[in-house]
Amino acid sequence: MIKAERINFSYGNQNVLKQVELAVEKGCFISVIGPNGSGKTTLLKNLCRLLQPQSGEVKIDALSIKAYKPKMLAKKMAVVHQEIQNTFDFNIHEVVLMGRYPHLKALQNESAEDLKIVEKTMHLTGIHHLRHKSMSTISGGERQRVMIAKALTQEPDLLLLDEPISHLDLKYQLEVLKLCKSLNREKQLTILTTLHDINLAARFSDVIILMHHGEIVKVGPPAEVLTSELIRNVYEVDVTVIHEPHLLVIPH
Amino acid sequence: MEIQLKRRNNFIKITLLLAVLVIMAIFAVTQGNVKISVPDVVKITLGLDDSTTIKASHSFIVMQVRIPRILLSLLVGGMLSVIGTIFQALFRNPMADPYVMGVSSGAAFGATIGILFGVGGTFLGMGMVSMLAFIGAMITILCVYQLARVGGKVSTTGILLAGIVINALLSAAISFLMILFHNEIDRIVTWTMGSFGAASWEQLGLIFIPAIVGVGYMMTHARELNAMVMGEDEARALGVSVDRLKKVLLILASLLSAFAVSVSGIIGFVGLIVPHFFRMVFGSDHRVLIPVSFLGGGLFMLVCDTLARSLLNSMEIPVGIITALFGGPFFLMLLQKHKRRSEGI
Ligand SMILES: Nc1ncnc2c1ncn2[C@@H]1O[C@H](COP(=O)(O)OP(=O)(O)OP(=O)(O)O)[C@@H](O)[C@H]1O
Ligand SMILES: [Mg+2]
Repeated sequence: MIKAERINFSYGNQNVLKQVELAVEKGCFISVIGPNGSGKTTLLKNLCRLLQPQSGEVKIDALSIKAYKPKMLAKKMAVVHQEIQNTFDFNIHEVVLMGRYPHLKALQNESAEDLKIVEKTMHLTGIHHLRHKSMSTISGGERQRVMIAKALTQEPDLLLLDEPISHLDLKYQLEVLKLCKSLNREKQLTILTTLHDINLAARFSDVIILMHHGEIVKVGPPAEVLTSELIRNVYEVDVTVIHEPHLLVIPH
Repeated sequence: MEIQLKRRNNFIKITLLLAVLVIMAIFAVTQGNVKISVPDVVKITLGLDDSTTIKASHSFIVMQVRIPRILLSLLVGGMLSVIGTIFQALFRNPMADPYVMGVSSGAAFGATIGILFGVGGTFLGMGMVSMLAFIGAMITILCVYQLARVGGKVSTTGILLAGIVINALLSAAISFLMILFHNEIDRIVTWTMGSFGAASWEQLGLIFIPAIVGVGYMMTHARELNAMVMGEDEARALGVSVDRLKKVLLILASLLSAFAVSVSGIIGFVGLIVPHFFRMVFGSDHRVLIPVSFLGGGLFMLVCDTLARSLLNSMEIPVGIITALFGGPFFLMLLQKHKRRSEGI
Protein backbone atom coordinates (compact mmCIF):
# COMPACT_ATOMS: atom_id res chain seq x y z
CA MET A 1 0.00 0.00 0.00
CA ILE A 2 2.53 2.57 1.15
CA LYS A 3 6.25 2.12 1.27
CA ALA A 4 9.18 4.22 2.40
CA GLU A 5 12.44 3.26 0.78
CA ARG A 6 15.40 4.40 2.82
CA ILE A 7 14.25 7.94 3.29
CA ASN A 8 16.49 10.56 4.82
CA PHE A 9 15.12 13.87 5.86
CA SER A 10 16.69 16.85 7.57
CA TYR A 11 15.50 20.28 8.63
CA GLY A 12 18.47 22.44 7.70
CA ASN A 13 21.41 20.43 9.00
CA GLN A 14 19.48 18.54 11.68
CA ASN A 15 19.08 15.01 10.41
CA VAL A 16 15.63 13.98 11.58
CA LEU A 17 14.91 10.80 9.61
CA LYS A 18 17.75 8.37 9.05
CA GLN A 19 17.44 5.60 6.48
CA VAL A 20 13.84 4.92 7.36
CA GLU A 21 12.44 1.76 5.76
CA LEU A 22 8.79 0.95 6.02
CA ALA A 23 6.20 -1.13 4.20
CA VAL A 24 2.54 -1.03 5.08
CA GLU A 25 0.25 -3.74 3.76
CA LYS A 26 -3.30 -2.97 2.73
CA GLY A 27 -5.75 -3.38 5.59
CA CYS A 28 -3.13 -3.05 8.30
CA PHE A 29 -3.46 -1.02 11.50
CA ILE A 30 -0.08 0.42 12.38
CA SER A 31 0.95 2.65 15.24
CA VAL A 32 4.12 4.70 15.39
CA ILE A 33 5.39 5.31 18.88
CA GLY A 34 8.49 7.01 20.23
CA PRO A 35 9.54 9.83 22.54
CA ASN A 36 8.92 13.52 21.80
CA GLY A 37 11.08 14.71 18.96
CA SER A 38 11.87 11.22 17.71
CA GLY A 39 10.58 12.10 14.25
CA LYS A 40 7.05 10.66 14.14
CA THR A 41 5.37 13.76 12.77
CA THR A 42 8.22 14.26 10.33
CA LEU A 43 7.82 10.69 9.10
CA LEU A 44 4.09 11.21 8.56
CA LYS A 45 4.67 14.43 6.68
CA ASN A 46 7.14 12.65 4.42
CA LEU A 47 4.62 9.91 3.79
CA CYS A 48 1.95 12.38 2.67
CA ARG A 49 4.30 14.53 0.56
CA LEU A 50 4.09 17.59 2.78
CA LEU A 51 7.82 17.21 3.12
CA GLN A 52 10.09 15.71 0.51
CA PRO A 53 12.90 13.44 1.67
CA GLN A 54 16.40 14.50 0.64
CA SER A 55 17.05 10.94 -0.44
CA GLY A 56 15.02 7.78 -0.74
CA GLU A 57 11.49 7.50 -2.01
CA VAL A 58 7.93 7.06 -0.86
CA LYS A 59 5.78 4.78 -2.98
CA ILE A 60 2.06 4.26 -2.96
CA ASP A 61 0.79 1.15 -4.70
CA ALA A 62 4.24 0.71 -6.21
CA LEU A 63 4.11 4.16 -7.83
CA SER A 64 6.30 7.01 -6.63
CA ILE A 65 4.30 9.50 -4.59
CA LYS A 66 5.72 12.27 -6.76
CA ALA A 67 3.80 10.92 -9.74
CA TYR A 68 0.39 11.49 -8.14
CA LYS A 69 -1.72 14.50 -9.02
CA PRO A 70 -2.84 16.35 -5.87
CA LYS A 71 -6.47 15.26 -6.10
CA MET A 72 -5.51 11.68 -6.96
CA LEU A 73 -3.39 11.53 -3.86
CA ALA A 74 -6.14 13.02 -1.73
CA LYS A 75 -8.50 10.27 -2.85
CA LYS A 76 -5.93 7.62 -1.92
CA MET A 77 -4.96 9.04 1.41
CA ALA A 78 -6.27 11.42 4.02
CA VAL A 79 -4.26 13.04 6.78
CA VAL A 80 -5.24 14.34 10.18
CA HIS A 81 -2.56 16.68 11.46
CA GLN A 82 -1.41 17.21 15.00
CA GLU A 83 -2.17 20.94 15.01
CA ILE A 84 -5.29 22.61 13.73
CA GLN A 85 -5.42 26.23 12.64
CA ASN A 86 -8.41 28.24 11.62
CA THR A 87 -8.64 31.99 11.25
CA PHE A 88 -12.11 32.51 9.90
CA ASP A 89 -15.08 30.67 11.14
CA PHE A 90 -16.56 27.81 9.23
CA ASN A 91 -19.28 25.74 10.75
CA ILE A 92 -18.67 22.06 11.32
CA HIS A 93 -20.79 20.96 8.41
CA GLU A 94 -18.83 23.17 6.02
CA VAL A 95 -15.53 21.80 7.29
CA VAL A 96 -16.54 18.17 6.95
CA LEU A 97 -17.96 18.91 3.51
CA MET A 98 -14.52 20.11 2.39
CA GLY A 99 -13.48 16.47 2.52
CA ARG A 100 -15.40 15.93 -0.71
CA TYR A 101 -13.12 18.37 -2.56
CA PRO A 102 -10.88 15.75 -4.20
CA HIS A 103 -13.93 13.98 -5.60
CA LEU A 104 -15.44 17.04 -7.21
CA LYS A 105 -14.58 18.69 -10.49
CA ALA A 106 -14.04 22.43 -10.56
CA LEU A 107 -17.35 24.25 -10.06
CA GLN A 108 -19.24 21.00 -9.52
CA ASN A 109 -21.74 21.26 -6.69
CA GLU A 110 -21.92 18.57 -4.04
CA SER A 111 -24.49 15.94 -4.96
CA ALA A 112 -27.02 14.35 -2.62
CA GLU A 113 -24.62 11.41 -2.47
CA ASP A 114 -21.81 13.65 -1.21
CA LEU A 115 -24.06 15.13 1.44
CA LYS A 116 -25.07 11.65 2.57
CA ILE A 117 -21.42 10.73 3.06
CA VAL A 118 -20.94 13.86 5.14
CA GLU A 119 -23.94 12.98 7.32
CA LYS A 120 -22.58 9.48 7.81
CA THR A 121 -19.10 10.52 8.89
CA MET A 122 -20.52 13.14 11.24
CA HIS A 123 -22.60 10.44 12.91
CA LEU A 124 -19.66 8.04 13.07
CA THR A 125 -17.46 10.58 14.83
CA GLY A 126 -20.21 11.76 17.16
CA ILE A 127 -20.29 15.37 15.96
CA HIS A 128 -23.59 15.41 14.12
CA HIS A 129 -25.33 17.39 16.84
CA LEU A 130 -22.61 20.08 16.53
CA ARG A 131 -22.98 20.59 12.79
CA HIS A 132 -24.33 24.15 13.01
CA LYS A 133 -21.74 25.34 15.49
CA SER A 134 -18.64 27.15 14.34
CA MET A 135 -15.11 25.82 14.71
CA SER A 136 -14.20 28.44 17.28
CA THR A 137 -17.02 27.55 19.64
CA ILE A 138 -16.31 23.85 20.13
CA SER A 139 -13.81 22.10 22.38
CA GLY A 140 -10.37 20.86 21.34
CA GLY A 141 -11.52 17.26 21.37
CA GLU A 142 -14.57 18.05 19.31
CA ARG A 143 -12.39 19.88 16.83
CA GLN A 144 -10.15 16.84 16.57
CA ARG A 145 -13.17 14.68 15.79
CA VAL A 146 -14.27 17.18 13.15
CA MET A 147 -10.91 16.85 11.45
CA ILE A 148 -11.19 13.07 11.57
CA ALA A 149 -14.67 13.30 10.08
CA LYS A 150 -13.31 15.49 7.28
CA ALA A 151 -10.56 12.95 6.58
CA LEU A 152 -13.07 10.09 6.46
CA THR A 153 -15.26 12.12 4.11
CA GLN A 154 -12.42 11.93 1.61
CA GLU A 155 -13.12 8.17 1.49
CA PRO A 156 -9.43 7.32 1.33
CA ASP A 157 -7.82 3.88 1.19
CA LEU A 158 -5.20 5.01 3.66
CA LEU A 159 -5.62 7.20 6.70
CA LEU A 160 -2.65 8.90 8.35
CA LEU A 161 -3.29 10.26 11.82
CA ASP A 162 -0.92 12.30 13.97
CA GLU A 163 -1.82 12.00 17.65
CA PRO A 164 -5.52 11.75 16.86
CA ILE A 165 -6.54 11.25 20.46
CA SER A 166 -4.29 13.74 22.22
CA HIS A 167 -7.17 16.09 23.10
CA LEU A 168 -9.84 13.48 23.64
CA ASP A 169 -11.43 12.37 26.87
CA LEU A 170 -11.35 8.73 27.92
CA LYS A 171 -14.58 7.89 26.17
CA TYR A 172 -13.65 9.42 22.85
CA GLN A 173 -10.08 8.09 22.95
CA LEU A 174 -11.63 4.67 22.82
CA GLU A 175 -14.46 5.65 20.49
CA VAL A 176 -12.14 7.14 17.91
CA LEU A 177 -9.73 4.22 18.00
CA LYS A 178 -12.61 1.76 17.88
CA LEU A 179 -14.04 3.62 14.92
CA CYS A 180 -10.67 3.43 13.15
CA LYS A 181 -10.45 -0.24 14.00
CA SER A 182 -13.91 -1.03 12.68
CA LEU A 183 -13.28 0.88 9.45
CA ASN A 184 -10.01 -0.95 9.26
CA ARG A 185 -11.67 -4.36 9.64
CA GLU A 186 -14.83 -3.78 7.67
CA LYS A 187 -13.75 -1.40 4.92
CA GLN A 188 -10.13 -2.49 4.65
CA LEU A 189 -9.09 1.07 5.45
CA THR A 190 -5.36 1.03 6.07
CA ILE A 191 -4.42 3.03 9.13
CA LEU A 192 -1.12 4.50 10.20
CA THR A 193 -1.26 6.55 13.35
CA THR A 194 1.16 8.02 15.84
CA LEU A 195 0.19 7.44 19.45
CA HIS A 196 1.67 8.35 22.78
CA ASP A 197 -0.37 5.87 24.77
CA ILE A 198 1.59 2.64 24.51
CA ASN A 199 -1.20 0.54 25.98
CA LEU A 200 -3.77 1.78 23.50
CA ALA A 201 -1.26 1.21 20.71
CA ALA A 202 -0.79 -2.34 21.94
CA ARG A 203 -4.49 -2.96 22.11
CA PHE A 204 -5.46 -1.67 18.69
CA SER A 205 -2.49 -2.19 16.37
CA ASP A 206 -1.49 -5.11 14.24
CA VAL A 207 2.00 -3.70 14.00
CA ILE A 208 3.89 -1.17 16.10
CA ILE A 209 6.80 0.92 14.85
CA LEU A 210 9.10 2.17 17.58
CA MET A 211 11.12 5.27 16.69
CA HIS A 212 14.07 6.81 18.43
CA HIS A 213 16.27 9.69 17.25
CA GLY A 214 14.90 9.47 13.72
CA GLU A 215 15.52 5.79 13.32
CA ILE A 216 13.17 2.86 13.41
CA VAL A 217 14.33 0.78 16.34
CA LYS A 218 11.89 -2.06 15.93
CA VAL A 219 8.89 -3.05 13.83
CA GLY A 220 6.58 -5.91 14.67
CA PRO A 221 3.50 -7.10 16.50
CA PRO A 222 2.96 -5.38 19.86
CA ALA A 223 4.32 -8.28 21.89
CA GLU A 224 7.64 -8.18 20.04
CA VAL A 225 8.12 -4.41 20.21
CA LEU A 226 6.92 -3.66 23.69
CA THR A 227 9.55 -5.35 25.78
CA SER A 228 10.79 -3.81 28.99
CA GLU A 229 14.30 -3.78 27.57
CA LEU A 230 13.46 -1.83 24.40
CA ILE A 231 11.27 0.61 26.29
CA ARG A 232 14.02 1.28 28.79
CA ASN A 233 16.49 1.90 25.99
CA VAL A 234 14.22 4.29 24.14
CA TYR A 235 12.20 6.07 26.82
CA GLU A 236 14.69 5.74 29.69
CA VAL A 237 11.90 4.47 31.91
CA ASP A 238 11.74 1.17 33.76
CA VAL A 239 8.56 -0.73 33.08
CA THR A 240 6.94 -4.07 33.73
CA VAL A 241 5.23 -5.70 30.78
CA ILE A 242 2.30 -8.00 31.54
CA HIS A 243 1.01 -10.33 28.83
CA GLU A 244 -2.12 -11.72 30.45
CA PRO A 245 -5.06 -11.07 30.07
CA HIS A 246 -3.72 -8.70 27.47
CA LEU A 247 -0.52 -6.78 26.92
CA LEU A 248 -0.05 -4.01 29.47
CA VAL A 249 2.95 -1.77 30.06
CA ILE A 250 3.22 -0.45 33.61
CA PRO A 251 5.86 2.17 34.39
CA HIS A 252 7.62 1.81 37.75
CA MET B 1 -32.48 19.42 3.03
CA GLU B 2 -30.80 21.95 5.28
CA ILE B 3 -28.23 22.79 2.68
CA GLN B 4 -30.90 23.37 0.05
CA LEU B 5 -32.66 25.71 2.43
CA LYS B 6 -29.42 27.55 3.02
CA ARG B 7 -28.73 27.82 -0.69
CA ARG B 8 -32.20 29.22 -1.27
CA ASN B 9 -31.78 31.68 1.57
CA ASN B 10 -28.49 32.86 0.13
CA PHE B 11 -30.06 33.15 -3.28
CA ILE B 12 -32.81 35.37 -1.88
CA LYS B 13 -30.31 37.54 -0.02
CA ILE B 14 -28.16 37.96 -3.12
CA THR B 15 -31.19 38.88 -5.22
CA LEU B 16 -32.20 41.45 -2.62
CA LEU B 17 -28.70 42.89 -2.62
CA LEU B 18 -28.80 43.16 -6.39
CA ALA B 19 -32.19 44.87 -6.29
CA VAL B 20 -30.99 47.42 -3.73
CA LEU B 21 -27.94 48.01 -5.87
CA VAL B 22 -29.98 48.76 -9.00
CA ILE B 23 -32.35 51.09 -7.13
CA MET B 24 -29.43 52.90 -5.50
CA ALA B 25 -27.70 53.27 -8.85
CA ILE B 26 -30.78 54.88 -10.42
CA PHE B 27 -31.18 57.14 -7.43
CA ALA B 28 -27.52 58.12 -7.63
CA VAL B 29 -27.94 59.26 -11.23
CA THR B 30 -30.55 61.79 -10.12
CA GLN B 31 -28.30 63.22 -7.42
CA GLY B 32 -25.65 65.90 -7.74
CA ASN B 33 -25.35 69.62 -8.27
CA VAL B 34 -28.01 69.42 -10.93
CA LYS B 35 -31.00 67.36 -9.80
CA ILE B 36 -32.54 65.31 -12.57
CA SER B 37 -35.85 63.51 -12.11
CA VAL B 38 -36.16 59.72 -12.25
CA PRO B 39 -38.45 59.69 -15.34
CA ASP B 40 -35.97 61.91 -17.17
CA VAL B 41 -33.11 59.64 -16.19
CA VAL B 42 -35.00 56.61 -17.47
CA LYS B 43 -35.87 58.36 -20.71
CA ILE B 44 -32.30 59.49 -21.28
CA THR B 45 -30.74 56.11 -20.59
CA LEU B 46 -33.24 54.35 -22.82
CA GLY B 47 -32.57 56.86 -25.60
CA LEU B 48 -36.13 58.20 -25.56
CA ASP B 49 -35.10 61.79 -24.93
CA ASP B 50 -36.54 64.28 -27.37
CA SER B 51 -34.80 67.61 -27.10
CA THR B 52 -38.13 69.40 -26.56
CA THR B 53 -38.65 68.11 -23.02
CA ILE B 54 -35.15 67.31 -21.84
CA LYS B 55 -32.24 69.70 -21.85
CA ALA B 56 -29.20 68.60 -23.86
CA SER B 57 -27.02 69.43 -20.89
CA HIS B 58 -28.99 66.94 -18.80
CA SER B 59 -28.46 64.15 -21.32
CA PHE B 60 -24.79 64.96 -21.34
CA ILE B 61 -24.55 64.90 -17.54
CA VAL B 62 -26.39 61.60 -17.33
CA MET B 63 -24.66 59.78 -20.16
CA GLN B 64 -21.14 61.17 -20.06
CA VAL B 65 -20.62 62.08 -16.42
CA ARG B 66 -22.85 60.29 -13.96
CA ILE B 67 -23.40 56.87 -15.49
CA PRO B 68 -19.73 56.16 -16.20
CA ARG B 69 -18.88 57.44 -12.75
CA ILE B 70 -21.48 55.26 -11.06
CA LEU B 71 -20.45 52.18 -13.01
CA LEU B 72 -16.81 52.86 -12.23
CA SER B 73 -17.47 53.22 -8.51
CA LEU B 74 -19.49 49.99 -8.52
CA LEU B 75 -16.73 48.14 -10.32
CA VAL B 76 -13.87 49.50 -8.22
CA GLY B 77 -15.76 48.92 -4.97
CA GLY B 78 -16.54 45.37 -6.00
CA MET B 79 -12.97 44.69 -7.10
CA LEU B 80 -11.40 46.06 -3.94
CA SER B 81 -13.73 44.02 -1.76
CA VAL B 82 -13.08 40.79 -3.61
CA ILE B 83 -9.33 41.43 -3.55
CA GLY B 84 -9.54 42.01 0.20
CA THR B 85 -11.48 38.76 0.60
CA ILE B 86 -8.84 36.86 -1.37
CA PHE B 87 -5.88 38.31 0.52
CA GLN B 88 -7.50 37.69 3.89
CA ALA B 89 -8.01 34.06 2.93
CA LEU B 90 -4.57 33.54 1.39
CA PHE B 91 -2.77 35.13 4.33
CA ARG B 92 -5.25 33.75 6.87
CA ASN B 93 -5.05 37.24 8.30
CA PRO B 94 -8.07 39.40 9.02
CA MET B 95 -5.93 42.54 8.71
CA ALA B 96 -5.00 41.96 5.08
CA ASP B 97 -6.40 44.47 2.60
CA PRO B 98 -5.99 44.98 -1.16
CA TYR B 99 -2.80 46.94 -0.56
CA VAL B 100 -0.81 44.33 1.38
CA MET B 101 1.66 43.92 -1.44
CA GLY B 102 2.55 47.59 -1.39
CA VAL B 103 0.22 48.57 -4.21
CA SER B 104 -0.99 51.73 -2.50
CA SER B 105 2.35 53.29 -1.74
CA GLY B 106 3.82 52.15 -5.06
CA ALA B 107 0.95 53.77 -6.93
CA ALA B 108 1.08 56.89 -4.78
CA PHE B 109 4.78 57.21 -5.44
CA GLY B 110 4.24 56.88 -9.18
CA ALA B 111 1.41 59.41 -9.08
CA THR B 112 3.47 61.84 -7.00
CA ILE B 113 6.26 61.73 -9.55
CA GLY B 114 3.71 62.33 -12.29
CA ILE B 115 2.15 65.29 -10.48
CA LEU B 116 5.47 66.89 -9.51
CA PHE B 117 6.97 66.69 -12.95
CA GLY B 118 3.75 67.85 -14.51
CA VAL B 119 3.59 65.10 -17.07
CA GLY B 120 0.53 65.59 -19.20
CA GLY B 121 -1.18 63.76 -22.02
CA THR B 122 -2.94 60.48 -22.03
CA PHE B 123 -2.04 56.93 -22.88
CA LEU B 124 -4.67 54.35 -23.79
CA GLY B 125 -7.30 56.67 -22.39
CA MET B 126 -5.50 56.90 -19.09
CA GLY B 127 -3.99 60.11 -17.84
CA MET B 128 -0.21 59.99 -17.46
CA VAL B 129 -0.54 60.31 -13.69
CA SER B 130 -2.72 57.18 -13.63
CA MET B 131 -0.29 55.44 -15.92
CA LEU B 132 2.62 56.24 -13.62
CA ALA B 133 0.58 55.10 -10.64
CA PHE B 134 -0.04 51.79 -12.38
CA ILE B 135 3.65 51.39 -13.20
CA GLY B 136 4.63 52.28 -9.64
CA ALA B 137 2.20 49.70 -8.28
CA MET B 138 3.48 46.99 -10.62
CA ILE B 139 7.11 47.60 -9.70
CA THR B 140 6.28 47.41 -6.01
CA ILE B 141 4.33 44.18 -6.43
CA LEU B 142 7.28 42.62 -8.23
CA CYS B 143 9.70 43.77 -5.54
CA VAL B 144 7.56 42.48 -2.68
CA TYR B 145 6.98 39.21 -4.49
CA GLN B 146 10.67 38.70 -5.19
CA LEU B 147 11.63 39.58 -1.63
CA ALA B 148 9.19 37.02 -0.24
CA ARG B 149 10.26 34.21 -2.52
CA VAL B 150 12.38 31.43 -1.14
CA GLY B 151 13.37 28.71 -3.59
CA GLY B 152 10.33 28.79 -5.87
CA LYS B 153 7.83 29.20 -3.04
CA VAL B 154 6.32 32.38 -1.68
CA SER B 155 5.98 32.70 2.05
CA THR B 156 2.91 34.59 3.13
CA THR B 157 4.59 35.97 6.24
CA GLY B 158 7.41 37.10 3.98
CA ILE B 159 4.93 39.00 1.81
CA LEU B 160 3.29 40.71 4.76
CA LEU B 161 6.64 41.82 6.14
CA ALA B 162 8.10 42.90 2.81
CA GLY B 163 4.86 44.74 2.05
CA ILE B 164 4.97 46.65 5.31
CA VAL B 165 8.61 47.61 4.89
CA ILE B 166 8.20 48.76 1.27
CA ASN B 167 5.07 50.68 2.25
CA ALA B 168 6.94 52.50 4.99
CA LEU B 169 9.88 53.19 2.72
CA LEU B 170 7.83 54.64 -0.09
CA SER B 171 5.58 56.62 2.25
CA ALA B 172 8.66 58.24 3.69
CA ALA B 173 9.89 59.03 0.20
CA ILE B 174 6.52 60.58 -0.69
CA SER B 175 6.50 62.69 2.46
CA PHE B 176 9.98 63.88 1.64
CA LEU B 177 8.93 64.86 -1.87
CA MET B 178 5.92 66.69 -0.45
CA ILE B 179 8.14 68.70 1.85
CA LEU B 180 10.47 69.57 -0.99
CA PHE B 181 7.65 70.60 -3.32
CA HIS B 182 5.06 71.89 -0.89
CA ASN B 183 2.99 73.82 -3.39
CA GLU B 184 1.82 70.53 -4.93
CA ILE B 185 0.82 68.98 -1.62
CA ASP B 186 -2.91 69.47 -2.25
CA ARG B 187 -2.98 67.50 -5.45
CA ILE B 188 -0.91 64.68 -4.03
CA VAL B 189 -3.01 64.41 -0.89
CA THR B 190 -6.22 64.47 -2.87
CA TRP B 191 -4.92 61.70 -5.07
CA THR B 192 -3.98 59.54 -2.09
CA MET B 193 -7.49 59.79 -0.70
CA GLY B 194 -9.17 58.61 -3.83
CA SER B 195 -11.75 60.10 -6.16
CA PHE B 196 -13.95 59.13 -9.07
CA GLY B 197 -13.98 62.72 -10.29
CA ALA B 198 -12.22 61.85 -13.52
CA ALA B 199 -14.43 58.87 -14.36
CA SER B 200 -15.05 58.31 -18.05
CA TRP B 201 -16.18 55.57 -20.39
CA GLU B 202 -12.52 55.10 -21.38
CA GLN B 203 -11.47 54.40 -17.81
CA LEU B 204 -14.36 52.03 -17.42
CA GLY B 205 -13.42 50.24 -20.63
CA LEU B 206 -9.87 49.92 -19.40
CA ILE B 207 -10.61 48.10 -16.18
CA PHE B 208 -13.83 46.32 -17.11
CA ILE B 209 -12.27 43.27 -18.73
CA PRO B 210 -9.49 42.75 -16.16
CA ALA B 211 -12.04 43.13 -13.36
CA ILE B 212 -14.56 40.66 -14.74
CA VAL B 213 -12.00 38.10 -15.83
CA GLY B 214 -10.10 38.41 -12.55
CA VAL B 215 -13.09 38.21 -10.26
CA GLY B 216 -14.52 35.39 -12.36
CA TYR B 217 -11.31 33.42 -12.02
CA MET B 218 -11.26 33.97 -8.27
CA MET B 219 -14.85 32.82 -8.04
CA THR B 220 -13.99 29.53 -9.73
CA HIS B 221 -11.39 28.90 -7.02
CA ALA B 222 -13.67 29.57 -4.08
CA ARG B 223 -13.56 26.01 -2.82
CA GLU B 224 -9.77 25.98 -2.83
CA LEU B 225 -9.79 29.21 -0.85
CA ASN B 226 -12.03 27.61 1.75
CA ALA B 227 -9.48 24.86 2.15
CA MET B 228 -6.64 27.41 2.32
CA VAL B 229 -8.29 29.13 5.26
CA MET B 230 -8.00 25.88 7.20
CA GLY B 231 -4.24 26.04 6.71
CA GLU B 232 -1.91 25.29 3.84
CA ASP B 233 -1.20 21.77 5.07
CA GLU B 234 -4.91 21.01 5.26
CA ALA B 235 -5.40 22.35 1.76
CA ARG B 236 -2.56 20.17 0.47
CA ALA B 237 -4.01 17.13 2.19
CA LEU B 238 -7.27 17.79 0.37
CA GLY B 239 -5.52 17.86 -2.98
CA VAL B 240 -5.28 21.60 -3.59
CA SER B 241 -2.21 22.68 -5.59
CA VAL B 242 -1.35 25.21 -2.91
CA ASP B 243 1.82 26.74 -4.33
CA ARG B 244 0.39 27.33 -7.77
CA LEU B 245 -2.89 28.69 -6.43
CA LYS B 246 -1.05 31.08 -4.13
CA LYS B 247 1.17 32.42 -6.88
CA VAL B 248 -1.62 32.91 -9.38
CA LEU B 249 -4.00 34.55 -6.93
CA LEU B 250 -1.36 36.81 -5.37
CA ILE B 251 -0.32 38.12 -8.75
CA LEU B 252 -3.84 38.39 -10.12
CA ALA B 253 -5.24 40.13 -7.05
CA SER B 254 -2.46 42.68 -6.81
CA LEU B 255 -2.68 43.33 -10.53
CA LEU B 256 -6.36 44.08 -10.11
CA SER B 257 -5.70 46.40 -7.20
CA ALA B 258 -3.14 48.22 -9.33
CA PHE B 259 -5.84 48.72 -11.98
CA ALA B 260 -8.29 49.95 -9.36
CA VAL B 261 -5.82 52.38 -7.84
CA SER B 262 -4.79 53.78 -11.18
CA VAL B 263 -8.33 54.89 -12.04
CA SER B 264 -9.46 56.09 -8.64
CA GLY B 265 -6.48 56.71 -6.38
CA ILE B 266 -6.15 54.98 -3.04
CA ILE B 267 -9.48 54.26 -1.45
CA GLY B 268 -8.86 52.65 1.89
CA PHE B 269 -11.07 50.67 4.16
CA VAL B 270 -13.49 49.19 1.62
CA GLY B 271 -11.36 46.13 0.91
CA LEU B 272 -10.81 45.61 4.60
CA ILE B 273 -14.28 45.85 6.08
CA VAL B 274 -16.64 44.72 3.34
CA PRO B 275 -15.33 41.12 3.44
CA HIS B 276 -15.63 41.05 7.22
CA PHE B 277 -19.11 42.48 7.08
CA PHE B 278 -20.31 39.76 4.73
CA ARG B 279 -18.45 37.05 6.61
CA MET B 280 -20.61 37.97 9.59
CA VAL B 281 -23.77 37.92 7.53
CA PHE B 282 -23.17 34.97 5.20
CA GLY B 283 -20.40 32.93 6.82
CA SER B 284 -16.95 32.15 5.47
CA ASP B 285 -17.82 30.01 2.46
CA HIS B 286 -16.08 31.75 -0.43
CA ARG B 287 -18.53 30.42 -2.96
CA VAL B 288 -21.01 32.86 -1.45
CA LEU B 289 -18.58 35.35 0.03
CA ILE B 290 -16.89 36.33 -3.23
CA PRO B 291 -20.04 37.22 -5.20
CA VAL B 292 -21.68 39.04 -2.28
CA SER B 293 -18.47 40.95 -1.54
CA PHE B 294 -18.40 42.02 -5.16
CA LEU B 295 -21.99 43.26 -5.13
CA GLY B 296 -21.86 44.63 -1.60
CA GLY B 297 -18.51 46.34 -2.08
CA GLY B 298 -19.84 47.98 -5.22
CA LEU B 299 -22.95 49.14 -3.41
CA PHE B 300 -20.95 50.52 -0.50
CA MET B 301 -18.65 52.43 -2.83
CA LEU B 302 -21.58 53.79 -4.83
CA VAL B 303 -23.21 55.16 -1.68
CA CYS B 304 -19.94 56.68 -0.48
CA ASP B 305 -19.20 58.28 -3.83
CA THR B 306 -22.70 59.69 -4.11
CA LEU B 307 -22.23 61.27 -0.69
CA ALA B 308 -18.77 62.46 -1.69
CA ARG B 309 -20.11 64.43 -4.64
CA SER B 310 -23.34 65.73 -3.14
CA LEU B 311 -22.68 66.45 0.55
CA LEU B 312 -20.96 69.77 -0.02
CA ASN B 313 -22.22 72.12 -2.68
CA SER B 314 -18.96 73.92 -3.20
CA MET B 315 -16.64 70.99 -3.65
CA GLU B 316 -16.24 67.23 -3.82
CA ILE B 317 -14.99 65.33 -0.79
CA PRO B 318 -12.37 62.68 -1.59
CA VAL B 319 -14.27 59.40 -1.44
CA GLY B 320 -11.63 57.74 0.75
CA ILE B 321 -12.59 60.13 3.52
CA ILE B 322 -16.22 59.10 3.29
CA THR B 323 -15.49 55.37 3.25
CA ALA B 324 -13.56 55.68 6.50
CA LEU B 325 -15.67 58.36 8.19
CA PHE B 326 -19.02 56.68 7.58
CA GLY B 327 -17.97 53.07 7.13
CA GLY B 328 -15.83 52.97 10.26
CA PRO B 329 -18.42 53.66 12.95
CA PHE B 330 -20.99 51.52 11.15
CA PHE B 331 -18.58 48.63 11.08
CA LEU B 332 -17.62 49.03 14.73
CA MET B 333 -21.27 48.99 15.69
CA LEU B 334 -21.81 45.81 13.78
CA LEU B 335 -18.71 44.24 15.30
CA GLN B 336 -19.99 44.95 18.80
CA LYS B 337 -23.38 43.50 18.01
CA HIS B 338 -21.86 40.42 16.46
CA LYS B 339 -19.53 39.91 19.40
CA ARG B 340 -22.40 40.14 21.84
CA ARG B 341 -24.41 37.66 19.89
CA SER B 342 -21.61 35.13 19.67
CA GLU B 343 -20.91 35.52 23.37
CA GLY B 344 -24.58 34.98 24.03
CA ILE B 345 -25.19 38.29 25.77
N1 LIG C 1 9.82 22.84 11.13
C1 LIG C 1 10.89 22.36 11.77
N2 LIG C 1 12.08 22.99 11.62
C2 LIG C 1 13.18 22.50 12.24
N3 LIG C 1 13.20 21.44 13.04
C3 LIG C 1 12.05 20.77 13.25
C4 LIG C 1 10.83 21.20 12.61
N4 LIG C 1 9.85 20.37 12.99
C5 LIG C 1 10.41 19.46 13.81
N5 LIG C 1 11.74 19.69 13.96
C6 LIG C 1 12.68 18.88 14.75
O1 LIG C 1 12.65 17.57 14.24
C7 LIG C 1 12.67 16.62 15.28
C8 LIG C 1 11.53 15.65 15.11
O2 LIG C 1 10.32 16.37 15.24
P1 LIG C 1 8.90 15.66 15.08
O3 LIG C 1 7.89 16.72 15.11
O4 LIG C 1 8.93 14.75 13.91
O5 LIG C 1 8.82 14.81 16.43
P2 LIG C 1 7.64 13.92 16.98
O6 LIG C 1 8.17 12.54 17.13
O7 LIG C 1 6.42 14.08 16.18
O8 LIG C 1 7.44 14.55 18.43
P3 LIG C 1 6.10 14.71 19.30
O9 LIG C 1 5.93 13.42 20.02
O10 LIG C 1 6.45 15.78 20.25
O11 LIG C 1 4.98 15.05 18.41
C9 LIG C 1 12.63 17.39 16.57
O12 LIG C 1 13.93 17.38 17.11
C10 LIG C 1 12.23 18.79 16.19
O13 LIG C 1 12.90 19.71 16.99
MG1 LIG D 1 4.54 14.96 16.53
